[in-house]
Amino acid sequence: MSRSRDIDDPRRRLLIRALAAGFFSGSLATPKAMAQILGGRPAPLPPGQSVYRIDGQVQVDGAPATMDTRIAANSTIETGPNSQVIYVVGASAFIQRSESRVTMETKESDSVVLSGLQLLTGKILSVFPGGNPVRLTTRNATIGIRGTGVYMESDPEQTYFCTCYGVADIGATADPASQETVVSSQHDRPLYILTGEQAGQNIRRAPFINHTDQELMLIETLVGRTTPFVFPKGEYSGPRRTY
Amino acid sequence: MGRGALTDPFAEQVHTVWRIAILPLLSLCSVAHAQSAEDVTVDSPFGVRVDAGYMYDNNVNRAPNGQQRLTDQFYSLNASASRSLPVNATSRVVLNGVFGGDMTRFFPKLGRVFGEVGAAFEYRKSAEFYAPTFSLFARGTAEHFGSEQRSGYRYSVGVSALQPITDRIDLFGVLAHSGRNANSSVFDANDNSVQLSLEYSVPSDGTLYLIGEYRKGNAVSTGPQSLVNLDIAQVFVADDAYTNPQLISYRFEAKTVIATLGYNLPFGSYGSMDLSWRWAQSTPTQSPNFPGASTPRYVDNQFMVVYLKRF
Repeated sequence: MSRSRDIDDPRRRLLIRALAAGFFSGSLATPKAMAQILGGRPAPLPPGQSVYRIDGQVQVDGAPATMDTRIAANSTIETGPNSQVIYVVGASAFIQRSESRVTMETKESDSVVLSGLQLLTGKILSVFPGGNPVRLTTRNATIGIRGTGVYMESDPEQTYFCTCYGVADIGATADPASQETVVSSQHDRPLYILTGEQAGQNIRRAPFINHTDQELMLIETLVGRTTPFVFPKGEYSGPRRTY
Repeated sequence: MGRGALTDPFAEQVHTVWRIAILPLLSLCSVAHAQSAEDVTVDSPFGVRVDAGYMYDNNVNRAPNGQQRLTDQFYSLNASASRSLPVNATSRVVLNGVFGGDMTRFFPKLGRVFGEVGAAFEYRKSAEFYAPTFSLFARGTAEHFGSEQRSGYRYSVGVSALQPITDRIDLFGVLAHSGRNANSSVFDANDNSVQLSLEYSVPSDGTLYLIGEYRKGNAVSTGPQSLVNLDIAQVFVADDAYTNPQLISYRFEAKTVIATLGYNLPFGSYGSMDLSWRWAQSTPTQSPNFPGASTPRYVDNQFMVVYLKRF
């Protein structure tokens, strides 16, 4: 699986992560330390657990996150540079990349059912259960979904949005003429939502970038579901020159 | 540039590979890029991928000891396209085509152009994270070397399985039978192999992989005539690729162990840089049949850097 690519020295980062996990300090055999380095075997998270994995610096509602942190349906999650967090809120699951700020929204304060998600900056891969409509917002886009898997990147100039599967109603916030409904079975129509173009021209086709089907399969597993497709798209393959 | 102006074999080889391989590849890439530039359909339905690589081989003739070993450097450019055809919800057929070429620095006749077609029938029971993917595959390769003896075709058939171990580690296994039919019978070869690959997804940073392979079948070495070489040889001929006319190529039965350690680092948009080291050792299954002779071992190291880009 190839994931995001904004790190300068992978060996250094791996070493730091290994040290942070106690890899060389006698706690080698602890499951958490091993899972941090070698990866875990994803399964539905038990009730009361929100976080599957933390890499780097993550804050939830302003406090440093740990594996025991509870993430509510109205929490704000922030990741620092070179950081990532994988978590579950109710029946929705997420991989939030580095330097991202996400605010969850719910209609009732004690509910675990999400009604909205704001991504002001950064990148997030999300899967949502069927049934409840969810409104996704970025600086310049508003998207309505119901039971889909989506990937978003938000920056001041544009939003990248991939309907990995399902249906999404996508609109440019400042341009009511730029609206599009995407029905996708497997990343069929990624889009850029722009600002400042002519009316009706603020949605453009985009490539499939920076997320994988293995990641979707991982977070669907955390909430006890599977992706609607069986074969991942764009699997890693090296040059494999024969001898 | 007129062909008559080329007197250096390396320059001529560059010209030939450029004309036969690189220009068509660039055309292919420009078509794919034009498609992607227009309305940004970058994830091409044809899945075109191009890789350009450099390899240093410290025993290109697969000689049994240091004195006989020859080194060379390979520059390669390949383009591949694949297409997936769903059969039903749990199986599909993947078609793949590759076209490319290698140039060599010191022994131009080891350079080649080749075309390959392959098909695989893949089955995965479900979308469960740990569901393995099974595959039946077959592929055929036609290749034209500067060495007339080496030109011909190859094929490979087999089964493979991909099994996630954790969310960062995949295990990939292959059982294969491969064959080669070349213009010279010394390069006609068959082998059976088992291969295991372990791929570790370094968090946010790429993929580290380790591949082990055991192969039983024919191997070919090129070296001076000697009692040992001739005794274990099934076939031998005077070689046409190396500058030393005294060298012979000989085929023998061998057990070969191959290990590859590599790292694939995402690099730029749709690209990655792949660094790898491959070590291979062949041991003849038949020992020389005269007093005092020891069984030779053929050890080779290859160091590769490849840039891969999808269009």
